[in-house]
Amino acid sequence: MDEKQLDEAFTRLKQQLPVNQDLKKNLRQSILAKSPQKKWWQRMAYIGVIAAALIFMFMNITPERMMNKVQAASLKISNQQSFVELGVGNPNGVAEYNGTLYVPVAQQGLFSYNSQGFHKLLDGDFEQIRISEDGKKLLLSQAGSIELYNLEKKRIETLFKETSTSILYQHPAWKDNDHILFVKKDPQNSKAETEIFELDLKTSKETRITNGDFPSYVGDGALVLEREDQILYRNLKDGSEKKIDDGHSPSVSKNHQYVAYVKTELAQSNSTPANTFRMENVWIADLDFTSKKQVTTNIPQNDDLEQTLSTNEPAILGKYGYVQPSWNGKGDRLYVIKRLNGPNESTVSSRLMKIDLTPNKLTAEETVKRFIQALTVRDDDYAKSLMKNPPKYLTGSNPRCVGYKIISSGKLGEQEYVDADIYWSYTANPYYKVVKSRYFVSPSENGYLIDQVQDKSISEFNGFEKQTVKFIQDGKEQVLFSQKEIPASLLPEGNVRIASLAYREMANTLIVCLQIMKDQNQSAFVRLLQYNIHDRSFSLIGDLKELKNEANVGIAFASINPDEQILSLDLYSGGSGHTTFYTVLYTLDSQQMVMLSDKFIDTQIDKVRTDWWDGDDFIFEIQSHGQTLKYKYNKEKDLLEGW
Amino acid sequence: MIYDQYFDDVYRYVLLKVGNKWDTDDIVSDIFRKVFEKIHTTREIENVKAWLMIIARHTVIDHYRKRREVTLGDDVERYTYPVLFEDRLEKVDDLVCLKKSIQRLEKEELEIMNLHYFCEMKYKEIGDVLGKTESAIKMKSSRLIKKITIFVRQCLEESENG
Repeated sequence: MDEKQLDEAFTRLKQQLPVNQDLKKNLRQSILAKSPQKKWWQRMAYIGVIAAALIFMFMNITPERMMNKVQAASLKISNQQSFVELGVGNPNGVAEYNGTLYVPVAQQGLFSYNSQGFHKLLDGDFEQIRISEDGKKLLLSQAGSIELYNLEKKRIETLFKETSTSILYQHPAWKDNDHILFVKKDPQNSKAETEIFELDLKTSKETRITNGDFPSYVGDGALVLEREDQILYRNLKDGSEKKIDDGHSPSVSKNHQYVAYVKTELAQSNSTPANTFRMENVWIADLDFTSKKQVTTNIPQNDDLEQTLSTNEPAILGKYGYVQPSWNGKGDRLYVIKRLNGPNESTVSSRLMKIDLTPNKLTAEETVKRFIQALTVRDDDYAKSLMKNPPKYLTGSNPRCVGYKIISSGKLGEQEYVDADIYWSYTANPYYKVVKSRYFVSPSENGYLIDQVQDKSISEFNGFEKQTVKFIQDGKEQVLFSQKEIPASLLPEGNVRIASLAYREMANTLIVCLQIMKDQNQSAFVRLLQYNIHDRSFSLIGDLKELKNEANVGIAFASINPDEQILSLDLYSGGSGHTTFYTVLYTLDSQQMVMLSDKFIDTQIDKVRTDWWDGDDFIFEIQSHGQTLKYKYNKEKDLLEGW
Repeated sequence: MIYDQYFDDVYRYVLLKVGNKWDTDDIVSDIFRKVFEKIHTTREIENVKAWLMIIARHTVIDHYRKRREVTLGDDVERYTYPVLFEDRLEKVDDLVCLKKSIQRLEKEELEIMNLHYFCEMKYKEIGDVLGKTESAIKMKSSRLIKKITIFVRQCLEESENG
């Protein structure tokens, strides 16, 4: 390797360091605003940049089969999450069985994600995945070959291998536990059509079915397939076919009621009407041809684009591309890979999304809960879909939302509203904020949309300066206490700083986390104090001197649940150059501690940290195998689940 | 605009130094808040990129300093660059060998490598950031390149020999 080759290798390596483009976009707006924390609320009321919400379309086709079920067009989105925040990898698909997700990550292998943790099952670069009805086997495709993985025996077997004549085998799907469907493609012959075959796994007998791609078995002797950008329903008994819609990548729900697919439509730019965009979105349709509905939103790739394109230029892609929709077992949750189109310097350009569907409309309170959830996890797309006039940018980075509480709801004249508190905290700094807001809402097709948000009051506890904690309410500032006012009996010897704060509104007390530094006489530890704002008194909650028998304990973050009984503490311990990270739930009354890493089985946890409180559920993140994954833990039920 | 022009460089610089996305997001947010507070009060900025990277470097050090007195000891720099790249059981090629070779560099060499190759800074600018002369940085870079070239070659030879 010479110097030039080294330069070139470093350039390639640089491309492997992903830049968080969402942060870049959001932080830019936040910094340019004069008062970032207030501005975005205010902007909401005035700025309307992107066309709001979902477009609902109904289509009446004479039903061939009548079933007692909810029509696709009547389903509402009850929740939506970009739940796997990918640190260093792009997911290529997903299959779900009984709450376990199987996710092939590009160039990294196949992973499982469930309440027991995150585990690597196989090495490889799998492009597609399908799970059998009994949940025991996976069909995988990679590089023109199809493989069968037995989850119980942990054994992989190649069903079809790309041949010397370069025939590619792709898009496998289960017909039943003993039969699969798959596609043969001859990339050398551009005129040759892709063909769908059936394979009997017991006899290895192959049967040609028809031309097409992406077969998905419907049951009752029928399948759905893609041919020439159309989604077709094919009766296997008589070979008759009927078009469901335009689109590609169909996937039939496990209850054989719906098909999900990706459809491309042309849209006109709002700012520059001469520009057109090719927008991909995920749709669902009834398999009895009754109705269909769009379930994702897309926006122009560059929504700042104002320059008119010349007529020769092709239409611009939407910001997102959607690939490989798939369903959970119950047929009420849709998974899809959402890809970022266009110039993207980051190596991470895909996200695994889930969309929950329900026949019931969201209530006003549920709408506000979902909106706050979307803000908290920085899911701008979902947050905007719940707003009537969404602003261009919504979320920032630090301080960040750590919880919320719905206080009440009611009507002001004809206008419905929901009152809610949002709690904010700051990583590695003594800061806590409670923002009380009124969310004005109005009915919509999905339930409600947020018209406007008014802040009623902002209470901020801030210990950034000179070990003094200030209380700032609606702009008025007062000093609560300085570190030297802490009674000597509660203030340990040595170098001490106020590290984190959390506010208990009902008790009018402030939780003060003191960091005691390591010195010649003692190891580092954390002391938890309670400060009563009313009578200005301090009391001791407890000390954290060891974690897993390891001394030198530090604290990076604290938050408290909406009922103000359980603290979440992001702690670390170590020495001699190594640091181990822990997230702990600390019950204030009993001083009982739950270490969340103990809830996982055989899972490599490189790092863990608090995310937020969704009512009694504590959402937290772990880093494992280079991936960032979110989990939900309910302390009362002692229940850990993937989030 | 300074933000758009340098955000990616700053982000990669911090990511490489702290090794995880969470801390990187927080630190980068703090860096740009500081930058926009200071830019109006700083009289003359001779080289914007060097000035920005000095702020970035100090913010990362502040981040580690918070942990220093707890678990890390005095040498804050020693704890930067924790795990540079995941070992992903990849087929051994020049890039895999480069990743392995980087792990063998000294902290100061890593810093120069980060600023030069990932932030695309000139030797003079790197000197401004690290408080060293251009010629000193040139000399250290030349040694670094030789060293890493040897490491990569060794790694490729070992893989060829099984």
